[in-house]
Amino acid sequence: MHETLDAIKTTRYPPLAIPLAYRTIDQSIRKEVLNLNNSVDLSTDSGPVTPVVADFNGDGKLDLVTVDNAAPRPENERAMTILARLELWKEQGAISTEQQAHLASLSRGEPFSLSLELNLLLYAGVLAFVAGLGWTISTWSQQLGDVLVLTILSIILTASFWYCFSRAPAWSAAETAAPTPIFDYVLYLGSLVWCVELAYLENRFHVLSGQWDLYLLATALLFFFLAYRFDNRFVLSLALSSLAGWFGLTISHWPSHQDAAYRQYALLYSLLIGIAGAILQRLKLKSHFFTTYLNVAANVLFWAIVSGVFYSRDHGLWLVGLLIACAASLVWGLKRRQFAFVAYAAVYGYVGVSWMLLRNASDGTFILTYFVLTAIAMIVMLVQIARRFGRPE
Amino acid sequence: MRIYTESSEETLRARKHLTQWTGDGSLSKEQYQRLEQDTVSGLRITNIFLRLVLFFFTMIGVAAAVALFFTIFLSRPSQQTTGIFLLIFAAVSYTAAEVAVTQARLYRYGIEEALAVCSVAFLCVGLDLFFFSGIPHSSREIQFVVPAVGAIASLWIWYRFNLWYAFPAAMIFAIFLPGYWTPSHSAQHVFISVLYAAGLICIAPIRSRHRFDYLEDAYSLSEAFLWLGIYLIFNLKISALSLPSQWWSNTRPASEFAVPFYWTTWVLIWCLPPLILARGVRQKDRLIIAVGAITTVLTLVTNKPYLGWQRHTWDPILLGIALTGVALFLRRWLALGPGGVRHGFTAARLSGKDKHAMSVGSAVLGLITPQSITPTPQPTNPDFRFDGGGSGGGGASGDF
Repeated sequence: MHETLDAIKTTRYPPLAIPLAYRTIDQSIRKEVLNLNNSVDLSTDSGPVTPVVADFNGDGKLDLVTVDNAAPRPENERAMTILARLELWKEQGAISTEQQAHLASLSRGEPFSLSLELNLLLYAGVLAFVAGLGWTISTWSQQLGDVLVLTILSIILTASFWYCFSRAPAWSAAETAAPTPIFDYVLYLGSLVWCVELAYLENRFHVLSGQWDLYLLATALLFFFLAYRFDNRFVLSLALSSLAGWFGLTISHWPSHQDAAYRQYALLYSLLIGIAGAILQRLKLKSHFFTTYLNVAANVLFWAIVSGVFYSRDHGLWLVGLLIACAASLVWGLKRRQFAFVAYAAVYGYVGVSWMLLRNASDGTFILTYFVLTAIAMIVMLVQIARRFGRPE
Repeated sequence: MRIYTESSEETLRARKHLTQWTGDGSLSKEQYQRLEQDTVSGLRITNIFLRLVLFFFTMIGVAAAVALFFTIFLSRPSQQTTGIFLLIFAAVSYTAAEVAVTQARLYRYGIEEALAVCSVAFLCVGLDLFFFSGIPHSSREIQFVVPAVGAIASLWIWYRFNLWYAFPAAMIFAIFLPGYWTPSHSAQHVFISVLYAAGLICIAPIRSRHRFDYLEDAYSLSEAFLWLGIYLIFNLKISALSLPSQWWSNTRPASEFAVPFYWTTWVLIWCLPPLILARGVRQKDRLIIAVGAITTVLTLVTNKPYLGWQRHTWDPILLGIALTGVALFLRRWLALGPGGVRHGFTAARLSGKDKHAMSVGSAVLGLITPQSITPTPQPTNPDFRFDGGGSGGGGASGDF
């Protein structure tokens, strides 16, 4: 690696905490004498990090010091637990005494937060309750009678939504926290009971007989409204799922060519929610929802395209579409450091391209050679991506 | 014995903590940049998505390479020959995994993990083909060597590479062991539970020496798996139908469980959850608490079938009310303590990691929930029937 000293000094690597950096010096370190009047290219090993410029050895000349990230650390280097590190950082003044105490207590689990467990318990409780409700109604509805069933469901529904609307803070386009710990779960309950009540109404009274998909559309719209009103990802997922159901049920009425129609509507669905998500993000309306939109859109899009590659007569066209989608997903993933999209591009792209290349192959040796070579190629490419972009996030 | 030095592991752990604390706002960006320099490790690491994809492609590459070798160099080999070569490939895969770590300095990178996993798979299949193919049924007793070696190899991979999933893999191998020795299902259950209990006894004292260091999580997870394994083995309503040795040998149980054994397990499935929960609470161990909660729910769900009582449609409603009630009571009780803390526990969220987990989890659960709880639409059927079903309602059709 060649670096220009001026660049090192002035732009890329402003002088950092020299005592800390100096402390990390070990056998891997590289030192070079600086000549500040001229730019000089210096060689380092493959993984230089945290370069610091200072006169470390007191000879009156500036030294450039980097730690070699790629070099293995000595085996006998003393392991330092996180608690010991915190103590050291406090002594060095890198963190305050209060921070050290706070972070040490977090590391020791003092206090130990049961927030995640209690939330999961609430989620499981709501889910079990609604599942039991649906099961009971489906089994005993004739004995219970329509009035009683609808009254019970409506009371739960009304109470849930009343709770949510009465407790919710004023709407904001930014991310907002739930006003009470149980708020999200009451909203889940209301949303799920809405599904059960709607299904009961249709099955019992056939209000929109043959037009079941309209219920799904209405449900999707209601859930979108609730998700944006109360800033709730769970209900947003319910809305996206219901909208997908509406697309699916709408075309299930069609008598023929359903595979092709499903593919086209899947494409339409993914484009619709992808564009809608992007517009809403641009308008800064709950922009934190954008990831959910994008992940659902990407997966539906890839499934549709790969199914086109597999089953459509126009394999070539679908393959071109797949390659474009993979390139877009890859670029997006790398640019935004959202590596799920890199994974989608790699896996869906590999499956689709492999199918195209191997669909008529019958020679076992050729097929296996293909998998060996392409797997190696993918590994090399992904390792390069990982080395360049793929730090843990 | 471990392939990664303590120093490297602790450094990576510290780096992870730093990122988390900065995300939570406990550290400033400037502090993070400064302290990050102190957590530089020589290991190559990556994120979970690239790790998974690299694992996937390494598995494909290794499997295809082995198959290609057999296709090119061996036409119609005997099973013993195949076994020998698979054993050789097991050694090659394992060596490659070691080299990937020692030379390329890979850490949870997918590649070395896939190689290690392949080595265990090749070892087991190779052993089975080389030593036991063509041996008559009466010699099956010694075939326990295959799962035993699989369990030992998995444990070694777990220990050497610190890969958490190798531990449950070893536990699954162990389940196959007693099927070779005894046809009695009661004896099989007892043997497996004794094996898991022995694992617990071994891990408990080791764990206490690694409080707050990088091995704490690994031992916590292993202990949680062992508790869960013991519970699942004793809960006959779950394990009797799913003991893998029964799938493997394709045999039906020779006899029903003995009555005393059956009722002993019923007592145990009620005793174990509070024991596990107490252990988790005492150790302040999230995973063991989770296992305690899961086993409690499983006990409640399987109690009626155990006793031969009839299930009611409203049982899930009662379960839901119970779970919600417990959660609300605990939250309130903890919140009313001084500073929102009681006995070292709080209901408040202290880490952004929990929030992120809930966000991702709720988005995923939202996509799958409608399919699991809402009834199937039957718009064209004039006869009344409100059917419980698998798709539709508020959710997607299967095609999406």
